Amino acid sequence: MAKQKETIKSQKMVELATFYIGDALCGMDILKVQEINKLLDMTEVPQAPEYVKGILNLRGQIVTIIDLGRKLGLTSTRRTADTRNIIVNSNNEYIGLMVDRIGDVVRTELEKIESPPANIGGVQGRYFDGVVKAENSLIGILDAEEVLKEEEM
Amino acid sequence: MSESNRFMDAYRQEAEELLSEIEQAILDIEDDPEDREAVNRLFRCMHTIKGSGSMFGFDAIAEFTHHVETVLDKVRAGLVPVSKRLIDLVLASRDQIMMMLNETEGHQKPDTGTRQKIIESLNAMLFESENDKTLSAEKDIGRPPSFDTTQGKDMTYRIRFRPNREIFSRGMDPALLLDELREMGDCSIMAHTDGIPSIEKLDPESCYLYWDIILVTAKGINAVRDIFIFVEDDCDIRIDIVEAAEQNVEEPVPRLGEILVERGDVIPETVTKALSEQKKIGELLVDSGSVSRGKVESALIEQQRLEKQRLSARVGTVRVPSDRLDKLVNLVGELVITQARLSQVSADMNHAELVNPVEEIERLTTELRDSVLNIRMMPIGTTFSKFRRLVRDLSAELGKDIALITEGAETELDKTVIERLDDPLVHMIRNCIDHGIEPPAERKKKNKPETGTIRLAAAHKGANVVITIEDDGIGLDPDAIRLKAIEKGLIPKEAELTEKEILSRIFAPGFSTSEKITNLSGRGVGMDVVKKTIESLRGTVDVSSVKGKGTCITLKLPLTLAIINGLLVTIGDSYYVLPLATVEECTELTKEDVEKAHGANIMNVRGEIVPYVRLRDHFEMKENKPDLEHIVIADVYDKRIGFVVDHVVGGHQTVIKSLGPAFKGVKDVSGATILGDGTVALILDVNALV
Repeated sequence: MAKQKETIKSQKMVELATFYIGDALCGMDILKVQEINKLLDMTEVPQAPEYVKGILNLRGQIVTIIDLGRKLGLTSTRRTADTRNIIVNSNNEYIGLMVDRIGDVVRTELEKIESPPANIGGVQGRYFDGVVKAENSLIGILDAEEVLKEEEM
Repeated sequence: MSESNRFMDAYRQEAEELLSEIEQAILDIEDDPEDREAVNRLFRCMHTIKGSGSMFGFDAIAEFTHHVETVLDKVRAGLVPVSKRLIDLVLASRDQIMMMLNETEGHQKPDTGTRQKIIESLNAMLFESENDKTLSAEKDIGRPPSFDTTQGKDMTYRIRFRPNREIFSRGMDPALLLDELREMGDCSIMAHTDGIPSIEKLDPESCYLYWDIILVTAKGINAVRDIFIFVEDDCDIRIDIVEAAEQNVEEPVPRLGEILVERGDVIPETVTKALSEQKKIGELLVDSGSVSRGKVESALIEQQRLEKQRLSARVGTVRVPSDRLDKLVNLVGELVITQARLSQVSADMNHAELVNPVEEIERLTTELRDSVLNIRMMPIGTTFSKFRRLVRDLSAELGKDIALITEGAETELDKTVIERLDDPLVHMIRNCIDHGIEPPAERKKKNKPETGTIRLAAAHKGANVVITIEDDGIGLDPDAIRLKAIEKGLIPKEAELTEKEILSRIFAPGFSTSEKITNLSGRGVGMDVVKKTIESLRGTVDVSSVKGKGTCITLKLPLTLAIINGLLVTIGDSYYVLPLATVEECTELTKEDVEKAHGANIMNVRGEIVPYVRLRDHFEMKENKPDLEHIVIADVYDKRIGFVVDHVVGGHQTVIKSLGPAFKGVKDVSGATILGDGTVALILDVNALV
């Protein structure tokens, strides 16, 4: 019985969509990601918090775009040809996380995920669910709910 | 959510609706104790609450309601008179049941003491009525024992009970109903099995049977109907009185065909047809000349018409979760936007074959939008009825005599608006009762009728609904308000204000002129909350008053929250929408105008000085300022204020989308909308901009 449980556990794989905020490689469960796009023509909202880049129309839905770098206390995301929005659905609302660059999709086993250190590449540990070692780097798994929590107050 | 939880929620929802109906019914009875229909309605509601309560495990409610029901049954039978005590008790019971519903949600601790007291009073009432009856029995011989004429003597009922297929999934067992019928008297039941499909198509959880029941009982047709009270909405139930057992003996027993016809198993047409096919009676009749073919046919047509009528009379209702409706409204909003874009493209292309279908789509879209928005509309009367209770209870508590007159209960408003209106209306009506209307003695001294009147009226006015709350009480005293406002630092001492401006101070936070603080009002929170709520619904509040004569508060609300008429403007590269309802005029702001004002943000519009806000500066936009700017003059808090923009684009049907929680701190923007070309425009809140 115990053995059976173990095999089930070891089968639990998770796919991470990875992206860069500055130099920090972050990941997010791909199932939480609605889509990734590069719509950058957004409407700025006066008086909005600094990390809010604006809103854009995603097929009739208003999406709030958040500069993830800024939100996590790093430098602002610079708009380049690589800049992308990761659209996630948080509490029935679409939020776009603007990141510097998209990385590969990384498959990893759930049990290889370790608890996060206090700080990953200058970002506070509380924003992460955990870390996982990739081939030659460390991926911090972003806790989207935690990142967006302050917005829901 | 688990299955049983879903049922419990459904019960709770249903019970709440029934409770408000109970309240309404009992107040109707109070107005007119002879209102039999209301008594029956009341009884049925209680009965349903009890019955479905025990079915879904709300045993405490079922048990408590049973006591109320027992008394109401006697009321229905005319054995217990309608009295103030009875009405108070029923109202108290209603509140108890409401509390019990909340208890099961875990909000409150059970209040068994009050419950017990109510039950005791109810029982006492029953006991008295029993005594009464024996005492007055001799005097009251002439009075019929009940108003149900079928009660008391043996009657034969023919019942066709065809349950809904899904009856089992609703937690009902038809067999139990049949058992109940059996207990009522001599009863023969026949099951019809012709609805049962072949085994491979049979769904074991559906009910394919239906029954014919012949019941002889003395209990009266109401008692028979009550058995089916929980299932009558979705099952096919026909109860006919066949004959009174003791009479009609001489009449011939009806023929088989007639019985079948009367039972509704076959329509006469079929019988005639069958007969004509077998024995050719129809043909014979026609042949023999006793009935013309035309007559037979016209009879058949009449038959068909009756059938059709019966079908069309059944207008059902469907319960839909409101988020699905919201989604629908949203989608229609999108459709409106896309259609506007299509019309634009078609106009640009000027293609002859395109024009027609595009116009057709425009018409259909408008119609669709109107009917979808209509789904969300509810008559405001549902809220009004709640206030009858409020007025009744509060005026009794304060020893005042107050009548509530409601008008325009059928006026329809968006459901969300109605829900949000609840608290402000309660507050304002409390104000009327507590501060507005004087005690009877004082009213008499002032030569006013002793009964005070509060008038609550709703009416359509253009794209708005206007709700007025009017009382004939002491009215507002502008001098007192002025003094109080100065004391609280709300207006400077030397300010010269019109009476209207002074009166509007009652909406300032922390304002109350009443000396005493009662548990109803006078704490100085209130009117500002009322104003805030109404403004959040994009409405306005207005107050007028004549000292000594009364106060009138007018609420003006938009019909719907989903779509507004907006004025589209641009500032820099961005589009903004100003609510058209507040816009008074648009004009140009030339360089000369600016120079004349010597740096002050004011402008002379036909001799009137209008201050303005430069939205460009307000939003800190620097780049490419045009030489000629435009100014939109809006009415904000009864003052004309200009908003300087780059260009005025024109009117725009604005489908409002709310902004996310990240924009909580943004006061100037109340929402966003998507324009025809897909860009996003921000909707400005003019009240906040000033």
